[in-house]
Amino acid sequence: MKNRKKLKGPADGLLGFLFPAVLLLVMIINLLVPDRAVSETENRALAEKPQITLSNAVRRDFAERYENYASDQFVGRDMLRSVKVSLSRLGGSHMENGVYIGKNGRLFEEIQVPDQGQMSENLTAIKSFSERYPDIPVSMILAPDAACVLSESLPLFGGVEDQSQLISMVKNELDDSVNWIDAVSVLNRHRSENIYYKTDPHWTSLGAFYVFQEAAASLGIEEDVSDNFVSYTVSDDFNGDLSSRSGVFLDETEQIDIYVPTTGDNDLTVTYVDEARKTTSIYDSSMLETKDQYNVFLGGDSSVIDIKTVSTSSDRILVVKDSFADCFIQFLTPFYREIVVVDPCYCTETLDEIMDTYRITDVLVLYSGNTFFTDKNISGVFAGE
Amino acid sequence: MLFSSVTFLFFFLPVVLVLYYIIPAKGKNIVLLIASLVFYAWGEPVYVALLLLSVCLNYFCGREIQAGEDDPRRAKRSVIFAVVANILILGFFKYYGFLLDMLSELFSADIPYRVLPLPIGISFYTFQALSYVVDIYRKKVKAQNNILSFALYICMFPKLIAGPVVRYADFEQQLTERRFSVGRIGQGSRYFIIGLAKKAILANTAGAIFEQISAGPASSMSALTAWIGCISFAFQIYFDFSGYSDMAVGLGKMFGFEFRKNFDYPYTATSIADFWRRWHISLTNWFREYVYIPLGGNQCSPARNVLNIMIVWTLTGMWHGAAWNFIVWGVYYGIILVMEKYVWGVFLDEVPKVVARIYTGILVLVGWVFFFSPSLGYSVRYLMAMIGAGAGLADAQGGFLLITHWLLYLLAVLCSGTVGIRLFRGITGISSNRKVRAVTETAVYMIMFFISVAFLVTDTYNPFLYFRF
Repeated sequence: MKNRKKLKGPADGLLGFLFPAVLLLVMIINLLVPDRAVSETENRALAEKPQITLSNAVRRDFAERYENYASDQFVGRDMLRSVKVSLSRLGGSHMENGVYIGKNGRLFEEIQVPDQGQMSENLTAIKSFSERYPDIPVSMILAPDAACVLSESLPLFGGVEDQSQLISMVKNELDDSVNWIDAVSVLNRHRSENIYYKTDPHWTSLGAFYVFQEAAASLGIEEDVSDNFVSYTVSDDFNGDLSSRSGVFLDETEQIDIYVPTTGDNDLTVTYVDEARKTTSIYDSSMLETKDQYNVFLGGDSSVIDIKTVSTSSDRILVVKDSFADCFIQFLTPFYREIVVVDPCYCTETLDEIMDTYRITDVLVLYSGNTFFTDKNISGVFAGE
Repeated sequence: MLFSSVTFLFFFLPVVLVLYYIIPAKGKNIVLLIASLVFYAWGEPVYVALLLLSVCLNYFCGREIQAGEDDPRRAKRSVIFAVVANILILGFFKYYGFLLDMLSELFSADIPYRVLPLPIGISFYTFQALSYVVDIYRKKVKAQNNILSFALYICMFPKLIAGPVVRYADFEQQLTERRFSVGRIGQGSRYFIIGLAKKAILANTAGAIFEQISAGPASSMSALTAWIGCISFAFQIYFDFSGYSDMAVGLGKMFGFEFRKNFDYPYTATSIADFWRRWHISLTNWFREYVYIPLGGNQCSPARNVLNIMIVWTLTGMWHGAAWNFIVWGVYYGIILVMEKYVWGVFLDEVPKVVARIYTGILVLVGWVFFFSPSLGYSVRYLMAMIGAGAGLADAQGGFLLITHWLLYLLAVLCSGTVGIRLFRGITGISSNRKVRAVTETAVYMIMFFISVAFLVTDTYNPFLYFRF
């Protein structure tokens, strides 16, 4: 038969040995190589082996859990990932795992679109909060994400959503219930400077500093703050979360700066309330040894942090925030006696309780656009009883 | 278990292959049967009992029909019982909820029911069992005496959960006589690797694009984006399903079995009738053999023939899922096939092939819109978006998707036709020296396998579409 002949390949004999042998070999290597708990390059915990018991095995999701485990712990996973990413990029890909691969070596988080219902709930909650405390000024910074400010570095046709429009919508909605600080125009003015990390979704300390200067007046800080701080470089080998997520630009290294007040005593105590842990610095230098070096600011995610300073001021500020605020807090330390930092993502208390416990005199709400538009915990903490 | 999973590739398959080949010929069927049950139980631990129940039911029904060989009335009673029992089981697990929904709607009452998860592969193995009992009744095959051999026919893992729908007549001889050689394992490996590459590289990537597009509302979609979405889905379902069939054929060969091909470049078809001769061939054949021809086929009046076609295609639609959109999809094809047969088929033969291909392509794409839409309203809105009534003709999203995935679309187009395989042969056939060719070809296949594994291990998006049916 003509057809038969065509189907038979010259490689059959060789492949017939090689293919099963490779499967067997990889299986044995996989069994021998010990499991890893976390992936440094991907910056996440890897799946652990699900226990093989009878009650587990009759559950439908067991196979799925086992598959997650097997592919997470696959030998040479990092290498396979870089092969995959290189091939996709060769094929024109400008997006890996939800991360835009922009121009000039920049990576961007996608702009998130808010869920309308959730959004109006959040805004109503913030408004009613500010009405409950008429004597306490509430300031708000809604920081645009890099894809909004540096849109010219986005890949061609990338970045469909206009975040600055979303942000001004929030501004109009909240109207005069908060002191609005216009981070979008400040950052736009400085767009040519290094205000966002290239491989991380956060702004740099410089970006935060510019916004702080703009915010100072609204926060009741009278003096000119532009010469009050001096910067020190604490790391020059930072490779951020966007690289980890996408597997792109894993060799790129960046600098992390901290800003320290030039004058005055800067002694302080930092209490991580839920963990009952105390330190004397808002910087956690042990984090510089980990992959996620941005956590050098306040040690990463925590529910409630209470910072007591030696400032002569008698003000106590509450900061309700996401991780963008972590590198912003350093600018507040000379101007407040106490700074209480709350991340609604991890916090189970309501703000009313915190306002009361710490006798708060000022409130700052600081979010990046993407978190603000997707976080489901905001309305919960702001809402009263 | 899925073929395109790490667990299957680097645990199940090597272990089963080794066991299968070290055990003497007499024990090979048992090894394969046990392996198949483990394979099924891995993702479907409870319903393996249902699978075994179906095996027993059809085994005894088959014997009963055989016993009535000389007593046509007894044989007829037995076969009717077997068919009804199979359809009831399938109907209960697949259409029960849908039926109650319909009744609720009809009587505007709220009938509560518990949704049972659909047992994986039930549509496939039930159809194989039906072909078995009917073929015994028709005296085309003899009932199998050995229950283990029969169980292997129903449960054999390469074809268990997504076909091809193998008829017992094609399988019977292979239960006892199979040829084994390294060359056949190699041939099977080639089919398997090609199928895996189709699935892991092309189908999963195209699927991720489709997911992304269809997540948004159809009314705010530009025509460009809507077309990209629909074409991505067409590529996803084709490479997903034909890749799975290739893997099944390849695995069959590795264990010494032969299955017929299930796909024959459907997207090169020049008419819808041609398309269905090339798409999911084993299913189309099943419906022709066990529904269309018994109804009278085309050996009857045109009116009756039209009715027969419509019945077959409504059932084909329903086979794909218990929802209105699948029924509409089936009826849509029924109507087109009737029209091709009685109205415009003759013109189709005369137009240039490229026109006929475009005609077929557009109709198939519109068909996929009905197929993937969660509701009829959505499919109408999606079709409107495709003609520009959504958000205009083009937008940045569409442009971005095209730029970001140009290589994928190029590869997908090449591999949908025969160009891909010809290019492939061109690369491997560089040298006329047989040894050099053997080495280059092996290298190309192993590289393809390596890349597929890189995609599988990295990507979190690895669904399998025909699971649901």
